[in-house]
Amino acid sequence: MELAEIKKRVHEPQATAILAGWSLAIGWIVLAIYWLLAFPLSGVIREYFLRSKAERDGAAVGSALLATLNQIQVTSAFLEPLKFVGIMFIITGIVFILLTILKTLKLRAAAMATLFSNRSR
Amino acid sequence: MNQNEQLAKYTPFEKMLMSMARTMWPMFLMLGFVIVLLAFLIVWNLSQTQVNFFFSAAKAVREGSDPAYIAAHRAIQVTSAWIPGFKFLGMGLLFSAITFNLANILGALREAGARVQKMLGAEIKAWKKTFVALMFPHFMMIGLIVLIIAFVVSLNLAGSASTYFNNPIKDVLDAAPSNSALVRQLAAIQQTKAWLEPFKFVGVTFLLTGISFALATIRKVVQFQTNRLVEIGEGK
Repeated sequence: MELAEIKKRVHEPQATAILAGWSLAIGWIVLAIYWLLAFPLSGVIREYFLRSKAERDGAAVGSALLATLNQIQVTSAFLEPLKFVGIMFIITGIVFILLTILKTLKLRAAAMATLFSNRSR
Repeated sequence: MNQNEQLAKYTPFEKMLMSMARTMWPMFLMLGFVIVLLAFLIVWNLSQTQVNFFFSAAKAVREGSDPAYIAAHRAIQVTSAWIPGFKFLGMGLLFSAITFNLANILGALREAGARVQKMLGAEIKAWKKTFVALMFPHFMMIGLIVLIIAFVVSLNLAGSASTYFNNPIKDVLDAAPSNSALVRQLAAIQQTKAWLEPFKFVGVTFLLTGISFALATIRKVVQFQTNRLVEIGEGK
């Protein structure tokens, strides 16, 4: 590979680097949504558990207490996998960065090979 | 260029970070390894003793006033309060060991780059740090601090759980009226558990982002070095 070609390719934006950036950003957005839902839920949980067990267990259909329990259970159920979706995006971003490093290292190896072969001539 | 000459180019903060990265990664790795393994052994022991004992009895006996069952229930609840924070701290230390090693790779890359430029008789140019490069040690530190705080809170939670669950389930805990001291204690335990979980993930997210920033910095350094080799080849 000629030096001019290497120079051109060094400055070319790499698809894996762009994907890494997007993946990290999406991961942070998903986790921010998770935090926005999970932190306030702890207040709802506190309100719910301030009632006696008899009151909690005896909550009638359509009552505010049962609606609170429903909110806690439904939100907790989807929050559990949601945080791992966020972490998945961040780890995917790491994989894409590693792929970008691999490509850049190959390019550096090509640059070294070209430079040293030019110098030995 | 030897290591001392190379180090002379760094700011005192960078020198401190590099020295920490070189010396502290084995300790972090070992501590993380021991913590995660210890957490497993504690829970395994609990499952074979207290959990096995507690759940081999009928519900009426488990929830009754027998001190042996109250103690078993208390042990289960206390352990489940502090062990998750402990495990996350162990994982945080392992992630930090990764970040430290990535920082070591970066230091080695910069040193090697300077050596190659010197060997080729060219002017030694160093890569100018970007925001990502400046931020990765901070992300690692924030992540680890968050996990340490989470562990301290979970120890406090275990203390509250120890007091609350030191009572018979049916006659005392279940019978506590609304807004009583016992019910308020339960509400505080449940609330802490609820916010502690996302809080731990704040720490993990910062640590993983720190790792990704360190890797992005490695990529930038390699890219800079490739470009520098091309420049040297062009006689610049």
